[in-house]
Amino acid sequence: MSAALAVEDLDVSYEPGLPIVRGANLTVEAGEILAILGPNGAGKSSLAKAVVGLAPVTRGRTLLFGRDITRTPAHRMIFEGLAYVPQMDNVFSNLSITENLELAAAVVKANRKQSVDLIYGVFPDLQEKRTSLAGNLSGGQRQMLAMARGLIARPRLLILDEPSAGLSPKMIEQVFAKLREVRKGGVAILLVEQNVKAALALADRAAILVEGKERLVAPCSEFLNDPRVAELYLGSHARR
Amino acid sequence: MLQLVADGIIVGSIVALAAIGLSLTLSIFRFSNFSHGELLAWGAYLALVVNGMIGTSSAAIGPFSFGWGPVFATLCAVAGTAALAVGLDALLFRRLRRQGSITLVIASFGASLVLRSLLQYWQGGVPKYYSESLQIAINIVPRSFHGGLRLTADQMLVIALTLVVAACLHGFLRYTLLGRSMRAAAANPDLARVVGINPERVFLATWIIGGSLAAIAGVFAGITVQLRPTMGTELLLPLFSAVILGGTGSRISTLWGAVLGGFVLGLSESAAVSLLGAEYRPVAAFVVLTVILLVKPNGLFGDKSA
Repeated sequence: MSAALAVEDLDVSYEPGLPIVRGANLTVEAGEILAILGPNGAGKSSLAKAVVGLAPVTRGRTLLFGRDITRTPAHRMIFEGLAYVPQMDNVFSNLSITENLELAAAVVKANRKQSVDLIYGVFPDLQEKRTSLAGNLSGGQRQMLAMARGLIARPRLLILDEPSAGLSPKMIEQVFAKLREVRKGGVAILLVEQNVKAALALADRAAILVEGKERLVAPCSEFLNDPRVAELYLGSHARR
Repeated sequence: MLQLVADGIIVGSIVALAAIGLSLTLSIFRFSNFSHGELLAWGAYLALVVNGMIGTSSAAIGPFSFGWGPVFATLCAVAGTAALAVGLDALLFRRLRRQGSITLVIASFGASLVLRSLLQYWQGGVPKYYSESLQIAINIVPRSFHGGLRLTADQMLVIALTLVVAACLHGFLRYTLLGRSMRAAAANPDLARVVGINPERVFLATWIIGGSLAAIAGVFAGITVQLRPTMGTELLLPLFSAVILGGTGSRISTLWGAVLGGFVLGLSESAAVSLLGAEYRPVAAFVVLTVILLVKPNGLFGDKSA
């Protein structure tokens, strides 16, 4: 069976001759959570953006369940089964919670009411504030809404860019608990994270990206049980 | 006094309709389209030409000065101007979209010059009218009360249709998938793409709506004043003033901001003409624009980041 996502020899470059991601190779197996870790500027977010069509790929290819999606426009990705939750500005702040969800459901031609009700069942806190403008939500609520918005199209792969950024430890726990539920539902997850400890506790495997290239890919237990490896690749982040 | 206000609201209605379209294109494409005024002029002249082709023999509708012929001509002008806006995008703006907003603004200046020159070449510089017949104004308020108020049926229609068109557009943006997609794309273009919204569909809809509203505004300007190839250029400063006063961004309230901005501009012009003289009409828009930029640069309803 094909991997949920295969990234092969991928170069990502905003300026000619200055690649941010350099020949990256990664796979996310079906139903797996893969965390991408690494220092600032390692190219983690650019890699995620390139996979979803928001950053220019100059070499290599990406396969979603065996299907080449390297040149697929960003707006077609959701129809391929790939949802993306950006780090910043990940909700439409001028729309209410329900409007955000209804829009995402309507675009993929899902039954609006049924889909939104289903999502409210998974995210009951959102239902309580359904008429609130997304721009008025707290960081954690926004993150929940962004995840809910991504999931409403029933993707097979969910890519999240630093979902813990700016959240309190309690809220990070809640967001990551929700991701566990999502994985249980059979959705593969590619998680770009700076919060090493939380990411390693959640994911099945982790990849360390340094200067745009994966340096180590291993089960999280290996990182957790071998502090020297973590120290070597992550430096001070490992002690968080 | 009442007449002054009514005159201002009539001019404001024309400005408001065109300003809504300009505000939409500014929010979605993030550049100031200086050729928007020319779309208004082209819309007005297209209606004149179609009206001339089908003849003006049809009987007037109720109290209005025109029959079904001009209504049909207006619909044709709306379609033609929308097509012109879409064509302009395909020929020019789409190719320059990646170059940034400054390039697009300069390109729109060029497009404005070309469109105005073509219109002048085609129709000549002499002012034209949809109808030579005089319409009798209806006495709405007696002269004894604040100087009274007299309006023609056409003028009342212009005000009413402006509000109806704005309300319809509000409903479109609020409740339809395409309308919500347009608001989403205006707020966050990258996220809109990630959600599955095709940006080209949003762009197409924006040009069609912007062009259509400009054409209606052009016809209204032609009905209430006259047609000149420079009519769009002359309205450009009031248009931008109205848009900036209302505020730009992704909120629906900016639509009503543009309407309110149009009315404020119309009233300011009307007051300037009455108090200072007709030659000071353009100064009103400039003063309003300057005051807004100094006091509330994001406008009344604009996004803070816009």
